[in-house]
Amino acid sequence: MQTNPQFIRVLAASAFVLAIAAAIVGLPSTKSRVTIDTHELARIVEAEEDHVDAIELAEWIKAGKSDLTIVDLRSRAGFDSTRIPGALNVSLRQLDSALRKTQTIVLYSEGGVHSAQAWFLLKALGYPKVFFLKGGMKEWESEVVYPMFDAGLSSEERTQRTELSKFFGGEVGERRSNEAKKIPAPRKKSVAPKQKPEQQPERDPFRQVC
Amino acid sequence: MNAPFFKYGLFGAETNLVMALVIGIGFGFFLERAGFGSGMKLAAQFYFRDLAVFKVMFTAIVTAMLGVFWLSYFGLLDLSLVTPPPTYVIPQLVGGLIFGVGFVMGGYCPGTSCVATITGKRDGLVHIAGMIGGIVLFGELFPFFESFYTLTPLPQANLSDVLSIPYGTLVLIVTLAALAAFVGAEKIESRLRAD
Repeated sequence: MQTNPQFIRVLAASAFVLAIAAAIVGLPSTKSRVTIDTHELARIVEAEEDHVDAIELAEWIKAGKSDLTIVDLRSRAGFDSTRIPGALNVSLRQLDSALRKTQTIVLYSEGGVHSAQAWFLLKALGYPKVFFLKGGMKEWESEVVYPMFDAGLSSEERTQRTELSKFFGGEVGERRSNEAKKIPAPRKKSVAPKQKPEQQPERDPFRQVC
Repeated sequence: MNAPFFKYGLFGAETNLVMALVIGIGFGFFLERAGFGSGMKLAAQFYFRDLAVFKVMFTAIVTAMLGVFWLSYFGLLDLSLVTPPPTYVIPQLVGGLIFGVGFVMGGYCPGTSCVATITGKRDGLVHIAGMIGGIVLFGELFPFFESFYTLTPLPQANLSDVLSIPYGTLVLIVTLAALAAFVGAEKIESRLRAD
């Protein structure tokens, strides 16, 4: 099959012109410009629809919620030492390339500052179902894995929390009425099943920031 | 509407597979129409007798590069969501060498071996068997290869970063190199034909 030489010359000239223009323009994309509906975000925060608590998340995992993606924003070392089962270790800069908008995303960090910041980034980028874990990893450990029960806790809640603690490989303790609330230190090094860490891109030259 | 469509959640995993099938069939069709269902034609490039493969592949690279650049510039493609696979220099050099030797010896690469098989060539089928066998073997023996596989990482390297050249300038350089290579390839082919 012979191609018209004239057509090939037109194609080559087009490529040349587009390439010259590319050199003049310099960069393929400008920083992303997103429109943030601050009123809507404020409404979500006020209605407390921006976060889940540790027990709610534990119930989701136990029930096998299918579209759930849990994101650990802590350092690699922290993630390797202990993590919420099934979590992915993703840094703030990698968030957008590692996730999909169709997923229900729960973000957690050590305390909660980074996860709240990540929540804002993802909401600004238009992710519809994003939550952060209230109290972060600390609350996960103290509320789900190694909970301390107050004397006044109902028996139903006691049973539910004990089951959750067992499910996640922890154990429960009793708090005496005059004992100050304190977070028990984890008694096991890791509560999560060992997983092969996912290969994550180290950096993205075209990372967009809002 | 903004690309990449899958990342933006415009369609789900099932639709994604259907799209992959449609694009794959289209890719195979054009490979066949370019004559790449023939192992003889493909192997001829390594003897400089027929540089069609070289020209088609370089054309594809330049077309994709210019397309991605300008789609991104006009906001139709979000480049931050296009994740190129990480680079591991030594293992990928070794992999490329094995791939090249296989290509010269057999006359097919993975895509063209499928095209050859569909068009009724038995040597293409042998290649597919080898390809699947290789994949299974590699998967099963991966723990032995793993330390080598992740040697010399250069995650998500692109030429613009490595050479510290502005992105647009690099696009111009690659395009000029391609145009020069096409002219050179035509000359080599016509000289060999004259001989």
